[in-house]
Amino acid sequence: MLEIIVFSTLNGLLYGLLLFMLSSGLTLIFSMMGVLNFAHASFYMLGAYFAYALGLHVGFWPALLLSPLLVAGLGAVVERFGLRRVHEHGHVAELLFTFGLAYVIDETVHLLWGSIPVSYTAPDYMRAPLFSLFGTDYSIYRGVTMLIAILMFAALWYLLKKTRVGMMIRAALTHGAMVGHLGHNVPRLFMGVFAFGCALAALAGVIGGPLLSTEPGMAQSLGPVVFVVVVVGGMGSLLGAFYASLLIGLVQTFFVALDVSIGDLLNAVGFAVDPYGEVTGITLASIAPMTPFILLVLILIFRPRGLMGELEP
Amino acid sequence: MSLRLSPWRALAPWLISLLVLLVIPLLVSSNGTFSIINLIAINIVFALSYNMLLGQGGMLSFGHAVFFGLGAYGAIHVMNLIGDAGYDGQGFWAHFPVYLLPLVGFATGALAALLVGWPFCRRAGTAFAMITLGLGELVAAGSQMFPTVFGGEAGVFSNRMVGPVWFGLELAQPADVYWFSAFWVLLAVFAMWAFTRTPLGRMSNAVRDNAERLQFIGYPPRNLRFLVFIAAGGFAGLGGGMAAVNYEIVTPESLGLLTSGLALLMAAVGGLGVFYGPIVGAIVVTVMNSLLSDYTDASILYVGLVFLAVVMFAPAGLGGGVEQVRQSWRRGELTRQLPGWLGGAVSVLLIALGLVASIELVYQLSHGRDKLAQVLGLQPDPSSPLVWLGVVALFAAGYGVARASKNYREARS
Amino acid sequence: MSHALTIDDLKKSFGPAEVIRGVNLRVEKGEVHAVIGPNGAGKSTFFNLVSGAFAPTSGEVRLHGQRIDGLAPEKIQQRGLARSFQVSNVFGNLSVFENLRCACFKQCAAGYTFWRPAASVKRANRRAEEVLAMIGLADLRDSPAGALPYASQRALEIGMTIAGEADVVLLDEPTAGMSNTETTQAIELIRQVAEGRTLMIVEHDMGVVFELADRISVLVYGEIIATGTPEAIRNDPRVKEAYLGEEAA
Repeated sequence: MLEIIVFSTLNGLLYGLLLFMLSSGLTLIFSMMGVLNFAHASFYMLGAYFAYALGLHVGFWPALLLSPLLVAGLGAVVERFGLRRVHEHGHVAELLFTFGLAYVIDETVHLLWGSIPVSYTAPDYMRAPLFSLFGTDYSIYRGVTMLIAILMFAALWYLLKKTRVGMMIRAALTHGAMVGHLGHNVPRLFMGVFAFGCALAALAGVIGGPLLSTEPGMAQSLGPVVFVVVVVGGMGSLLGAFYASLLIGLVQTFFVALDVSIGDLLNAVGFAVDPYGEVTGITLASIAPMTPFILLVLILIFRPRGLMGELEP
Repeated sequence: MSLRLSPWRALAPWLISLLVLLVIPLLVSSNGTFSIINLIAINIVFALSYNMLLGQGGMLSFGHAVFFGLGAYGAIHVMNLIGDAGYDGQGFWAHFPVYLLPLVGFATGALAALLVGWPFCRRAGTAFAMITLGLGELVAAGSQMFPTVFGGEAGVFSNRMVGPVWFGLELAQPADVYWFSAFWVLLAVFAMWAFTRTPLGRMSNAVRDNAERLQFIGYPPRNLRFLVFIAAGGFAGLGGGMAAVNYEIVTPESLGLLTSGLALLMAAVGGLGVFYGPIVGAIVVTVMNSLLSDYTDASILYVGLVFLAVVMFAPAGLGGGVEQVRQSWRRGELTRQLPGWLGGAVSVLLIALGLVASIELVYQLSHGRDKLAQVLGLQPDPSSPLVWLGVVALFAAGYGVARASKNYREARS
Repeated sequence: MSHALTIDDLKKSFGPAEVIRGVNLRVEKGEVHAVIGPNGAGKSTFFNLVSGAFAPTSGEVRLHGQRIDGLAPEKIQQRGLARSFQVSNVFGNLSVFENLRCACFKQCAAGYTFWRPAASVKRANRRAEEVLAMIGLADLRDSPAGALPYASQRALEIGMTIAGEADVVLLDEPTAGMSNTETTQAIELIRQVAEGRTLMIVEHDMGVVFELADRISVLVYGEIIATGTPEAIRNDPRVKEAYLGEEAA
C-alpha cells in the first residue's frame, strides 16, 4: 500500500508538472491575447516528434534544446501570418482557426511519421534506476524530468516577476491598451508570448515524449485535459493552473493505481452491493481518464471562475 | 433585401430541392454513390443542427456529437426492439416501422439535451465551449464503461429490415435507403428553416447578438439558450437516427470530439451566417472526405486545410461568398466586382495546387507514391529540384495573382 | 398624485467605494423627470440600480408601490419598467424591424414560441410597425441594425425601449453625441414617447433637459441635492454651486 502511495505520488507529481508545463503556456497565451489555443497540445506533440527526428541526427540532449526553439519559430509564424489575420473577426474566429490548425498539425504528423508510435526514448544510461523503493525502480530520467520541470517553473517565475519583459507582459495582461500607448510594440509582444507558450508546450513534449508515448494521438488525448487544467485553475491564473495541474495529475494517477471498483468502495462504507455488476463493477482505473472532465463540469457549474481565477470565462 | 418575398420566390428553393431529390435516382445507379448521398443527407441534418447553436444562437459547442450519437444509439436500440418484437408480433414496437426511427433519435437527443443543458446555458462564449468539450469527452470516455448500452469498442449492431413496412418502402439496398434519407433530410431542413422564422428562432439570434440587452426586453438569455440547445440536440439526434438506419451500427466514436469537430467543420466551411451555408458545407466536406480518401492518405489534411483557408480568407464561408455575389448582382455591380473575386479564386486555386503538390511530394519522400499522383497521371521525382521549382512557381504565381486582384478590388471599392 | 417610482435610501458600493450614497426620489406618474449631475456623479449607476442591471447594496426601489430592487432585469421589465442605453445596445445583425419585433414579444408572451412563425404574431408585428413609423425609420426597416447611422441607432434604441409598452421608461442620455438637427428630432421623439408614460431621463445637454423636463433632480457624488421644477433648479444656489456654477462662471 505504501509503495502505491509513494510511487503514485511521485508519478502524479511528474504528470502534474508536465501538465503545468503545457497549461502555463496556454494560460499565458490566453491571458495575453484572449485566445484559447486549441492547437496547444499539437505543439506539444510537435515538440516530441521534432526531438525524435532531430535526435536521430544530433543526439538526445541537443535535440532537447533545438526542438522547442524550432516549435517557437513555428509558433511565431502561426501568430504572425495566421492568428493576427483572423483576430479582427473576433474570438470565435480565433478559436476556429486554432481548431483547424490542430487538425492540420495532427494530420501532418500522421502523414510524416505514420500512425504507430515512434521509438523516441531517453538514452540508455538515463533509464538506469535513480533509486529503488520496495523493489521498484525509479529511473534517472524521471528524476531529471522532474528537475527540468521545476527549473522551468522557477525560470518562468523569475522571467515574469523580475525581468523587464516580464513586467511588460504582466502589464499587458491587465492593461493591454495602455502598454500599447506607452510605446511598446504590443503585436510583437503577442508574437513573442505565443512563440514562448508554444516553446513551453514543446518542452513538455520533448521531455514527456519518452515517458508517455510519442504517437499521433498524443495531442488529442492530452489536449482536452490541458483545457480542463486552465479552466479549473481559473482562466488566466498561472498559480491556479499550477494547482489544477498537480490536482489532476495526482487524482488521475491514484485512480489508475488503485485496483478498486465502485462496488468495493460502496461495500467498504457499509452498502452491500454486487462488486461485479455493470455499474458497481466499474473500476476506479477505468474512471481515471474521465476524472478531469468530471472535475471540469463540476467546477463550471459550482465555481465558474475556477480555483484561482478572478473572472468567469 | 426584402423580407417579404412573393409566395413563389419563397417556395422556389423547396421545389428545386424536391426536384433535385427526385432526379438524383434517375442519374445514379451505383450503390457506392448512393451511400455517399445518404451520408451527405445525414451530415446536412447534423451540420444544420449545429448551426442552430453556433450560427443562430452564438453558442460554440465542442460536444454536439453527444446528441447525434445518443440519438443514433436510441434509434439502434429501438431497431433491435422492433426486431425482437417481430418474432411474436406482439407489443408496441412490433408495429413501429423502422422508417420512423429518426423520430426516436430526435426524442433521445432532445431529452439528453434537456437533462444536461441547463447548467451549460448560463453563459455563451468560452465557458460554453469548454463545458461542452468536457461533456463530449466525458460521454465518450464514459461510453466505454457501459458495454450493454454502448457496445464497447465495437458498438451496437442491428438490422434495419425488420418491423412493419409501410407503402412498400423497404430498406434493403442503399438505393432504398436513399428515399428514406431524402424524405428525412427534406423534412428536417424544412423544420429547421421554419424554426428560424419563429419568435424563438428570432430571439435566439437576438441572444447571439446581444445577450445583455435581451434581459431588458424581458427575457433571461439562459432560458432562450436552453430551448435552442434542446432543439439543436433534438435535430442532431434526428441525424443520428438517420445514421443508425443507414449503417445498422453505432459506435462510441459517433459521440466523440472528432464527430463534434466534423459538425463544426461543415458548418464553418459552408458559412455560419446563411441558413443554407451548413448544407453547402456538409456536401463539400462529405464529398471531399469520401472521394479523396480513395485516392490519398492525406484526405483529412486536405479537409483541414480547406477549413483553415475558409476561416482565414473567407470567414463568411462558402455560403457567405454566394450571398455576396448574389447581392452584388442585385445591385448591378457584379460586372465591376467579379474580376477581383475571380482573381482571388484563381490565386487560392494556384496556392492550393502548390500545397497539394508539396504535400504529395513530401508524402512520396516518406512513404512512396500516393495514389493521387497516379490518378493525375503524374510521375514527379521528389528528388529533382525542378519539381520543387515548379511548386515554388505555383506559390509565387498564386501570391502574385492574390496581390493583383486585391489591388483591383481596392481600386474599385 | 401617486408615484410611479419611489426610491428610498438607495445605496451602492463597489468594494470600498460608495458610488450611490442614499438616494431618495419620488417620480410622479406621467411626469418627465430628468436626472442631471456632473460627470462621475453616479447617474449611470443609479439607472443600473433601478433597472436591475446591478443589485443595490441597500435601500428600496418601488414601481407603482411594489418592490423591484434586487430583481433581475427581465423581471423588472415585465412589471412595466424599460430602459434605454447610453451606448447603443441593439441586436446588430438583426434588421431594424426584427429588433423592434423582438422587443414586442414579451408583451405577447411569444418569445419562447416555436410552433408558429413570427409573422403570425399579429400584435407584435402591428406594434413593431407602429413604433417603426413613430421613430421614423420606416425606410430602413430591413437594414441590419448594426449598420445604421448613429442617430438612427439612437432612435432605434428608444424605439426598442418603448416597444414593450412599458409605462415607466428610463432613457440614458438619449441625445449624447448628436448634432443639433438630430437633437431637435430626438426631442420631438422623446415628447411623443412621454405621452401617457412616466419618463426618467439622464441627460447632459441642458437645453434638452430644460425643454423636456417637468421636474429635475440633481445628483452629485451619489446623493440627490435638489429636486424641483426647472425654474426652481435654475435658481437653486446649491445647484449653482455644485453644478451650474462652472457654466455660469
